[in-house]
Amino acid sequence: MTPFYRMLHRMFSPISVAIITVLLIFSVQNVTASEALSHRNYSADEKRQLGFEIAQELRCPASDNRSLFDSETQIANELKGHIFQKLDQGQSKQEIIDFMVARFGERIRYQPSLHSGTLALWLIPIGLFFFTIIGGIAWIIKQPQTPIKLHLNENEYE
Amino acid sequence: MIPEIGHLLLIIAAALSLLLAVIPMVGLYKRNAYLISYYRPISNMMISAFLGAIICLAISFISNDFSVAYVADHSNTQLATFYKVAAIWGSHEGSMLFWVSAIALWTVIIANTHNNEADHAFFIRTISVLAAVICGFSLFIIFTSNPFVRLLPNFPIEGRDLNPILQNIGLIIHPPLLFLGYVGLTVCFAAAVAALMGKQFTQQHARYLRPWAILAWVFLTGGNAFGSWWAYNELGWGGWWFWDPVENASFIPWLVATALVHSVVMTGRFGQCKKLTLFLAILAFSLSLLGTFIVRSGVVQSVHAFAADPTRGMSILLLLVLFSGSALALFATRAQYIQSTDKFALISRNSLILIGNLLLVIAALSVLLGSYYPIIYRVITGVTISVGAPYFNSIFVPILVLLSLLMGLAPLLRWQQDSAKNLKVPAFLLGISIVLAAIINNSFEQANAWFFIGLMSVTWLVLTLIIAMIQHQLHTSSITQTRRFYAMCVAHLGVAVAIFAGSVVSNLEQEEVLSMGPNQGRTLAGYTFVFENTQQVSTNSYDALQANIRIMDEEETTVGYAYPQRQTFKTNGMQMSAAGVYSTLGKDLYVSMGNQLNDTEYLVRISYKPMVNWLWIGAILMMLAGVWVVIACRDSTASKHSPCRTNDQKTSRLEEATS
Repeated sequence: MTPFYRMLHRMFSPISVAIITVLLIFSVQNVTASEALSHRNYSADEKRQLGFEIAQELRCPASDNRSLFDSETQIANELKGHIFQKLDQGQSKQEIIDFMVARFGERIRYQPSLHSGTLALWLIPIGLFFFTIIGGIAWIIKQPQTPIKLHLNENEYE
Repeated sequence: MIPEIGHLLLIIAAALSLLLAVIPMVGLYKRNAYLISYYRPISNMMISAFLGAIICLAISFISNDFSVAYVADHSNTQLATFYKVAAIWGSHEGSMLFWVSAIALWTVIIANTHNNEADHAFFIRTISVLAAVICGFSLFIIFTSNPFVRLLPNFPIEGRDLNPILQNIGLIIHPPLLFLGYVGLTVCFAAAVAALMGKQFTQQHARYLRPWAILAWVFLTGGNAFGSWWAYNELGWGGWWFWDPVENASFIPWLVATALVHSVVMTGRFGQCKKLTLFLAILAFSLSLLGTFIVRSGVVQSVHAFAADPTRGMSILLLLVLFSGSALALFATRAQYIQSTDKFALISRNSLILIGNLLLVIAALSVLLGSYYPIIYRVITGVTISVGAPYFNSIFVPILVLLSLLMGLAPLLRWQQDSAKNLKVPAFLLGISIVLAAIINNSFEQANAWFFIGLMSVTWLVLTLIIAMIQHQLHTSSITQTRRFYAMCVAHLGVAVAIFAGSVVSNLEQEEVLSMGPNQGRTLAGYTFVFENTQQVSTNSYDALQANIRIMDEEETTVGYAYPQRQTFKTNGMQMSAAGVYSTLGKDLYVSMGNQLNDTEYLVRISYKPMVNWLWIGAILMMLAGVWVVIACRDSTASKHSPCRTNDQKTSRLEEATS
């Protein structure tokens, strides 16, 4: 166990943690910038980008399994028009998606909303993850740690 | 007459598979070598019957025998001959026949190459279990999806058409690749069940299993990648992966097969993780059956659903419950007898591979959950919801990043045990890759966290692979070991290339949707697209309106043309849009033509997709590495760990023959 902790300690020395944090913040800030596009007057570029993004997250009500963006059905084209109209009015992404959900139901949303019925979608993978990783590491550590005889004539890096 | 012969042959094959499943097993039980020795003649007869049935179906297709319902539904006199042949596996009934024949073919290869002096009982059991699976599938085909059913007496004069989307080179290659992958998983399943029956799973067994697992993985890789390439080029929306339930149905077994390959290597080499290997073999096969059920029953809505029929779903589900249920029950009762020597330290390559395998299984189960959650949810609450790409990306990408961290680190550590001080170099490399990724990320205006973690995974993988190769060169090792090591490097490099392409194309793609008519143009990502004119094109099966779009670079010189089409199929009037792609190694310029807006203008979508071809190049690298490992890295060093040294020469020859 101790070498493991020592290794962790070395890897997370204050300097390296600081560097990593700074870099992460540096690269994440761009995301927050694009999320912050919820101001009310979009430039043409922003409008296009946001409109495409919304259309890709919504499901075409008339075709089998295509996003509004990919679908060529009439209703999909109308709804894409709607999205851009609403962006012209200065509505935010969330408002537009909420409008579509109110009109067509939860089915139109490719990213299901988080509520008691869909909680399992996130909880199960996260739970599985922690359960198996912790279980796996515990299992490895629990194995009788008799000194392991290495085949000396063998290349252990192979 | 011909279809009846085919039908009869199919029934004979089913009966023979039942005999093959029972007689050698009875022989083993009664210790009767005479009964056991029937396994070879019966399996040879069985494959002949299956091949005969397929030939009969092919003759019906080629001679346009529309009294056969399957031919009438999927072929007509206009269809080109090679599509007629491909139509044999183009739809449900024929594809099941193809699948079961492929299992039979593999069974026969095992039966005929197997050497009597190796672990005889294990092989006999494997063959019998395979025969049981074949028998189940054959009964399923005969009773619920018989390709030889006749439309008598009022048979049509002309057949319907093969689904237009399927009239593509993709149909000829993609389904057989996937089926061969599933067949490989079936062999692994049978071997796992055979090992559980015999209450022992030795390193020899695992080494025998290894080429089968790797081949299954290679075929599945090819099937998935080719399917993605096909959808990208043919379906006309420019997506290469949409997390559609049908795509996931073949992706989930691929994830588990990847884990199986790694686990089987560990078992073959050190006798470790035996139970995990057995479990993964059963799981992979079960998931491939589950995927078939999902695709064929039509319980999910999908863009790729070409052969859905709810009535068949129940039968596949029955097969799934029967095979997986009994295999898992067997696993539950027999796993205690499987002794493995799981001694390795936390800081070792073994433990990283184990954790990676667990992560792969978690990824597979998460994708499974997301794909089928809407069905469960609808049954319970009556409300329909959709789970799509945004959800899968948010779950899968973090797991993929963790996996690539493990993938990079594992080759740098020693097997069995390593010391913590050897983690210095990897930690340093991780730092470099984070810095590199941040620099590259921030040099693009589209910089974001997803792109950053994608780049970090790639730089980390590449750096660690380079160091691992240097480290490998500094130590002596046998030729087989070296080959195997470099095969691993190529496969991992393939993954890195695919991740790179995936993150570049998803983050740096530029798109434009606009109305365009003759002589209009638009500039995107430095390229100018000029809509020159439209023209009518006609082929055997469709008429199309084609737009000729000239693409010019910044210096106004023409680099190429893209020809998007709106196709109207002659037989059923179905309309499709086929994209025009101008493809180079570094980028694809993708044009698809949508609805007509007025007399001359169309809705046109143009996109600039950098690096997209490297997705499939990555997959090809993985496949090549797999094939190479199977062909060139046969177990010549088996003697080192073998529990029974005297048999080594024979076993290695056996493995050569079977791999």
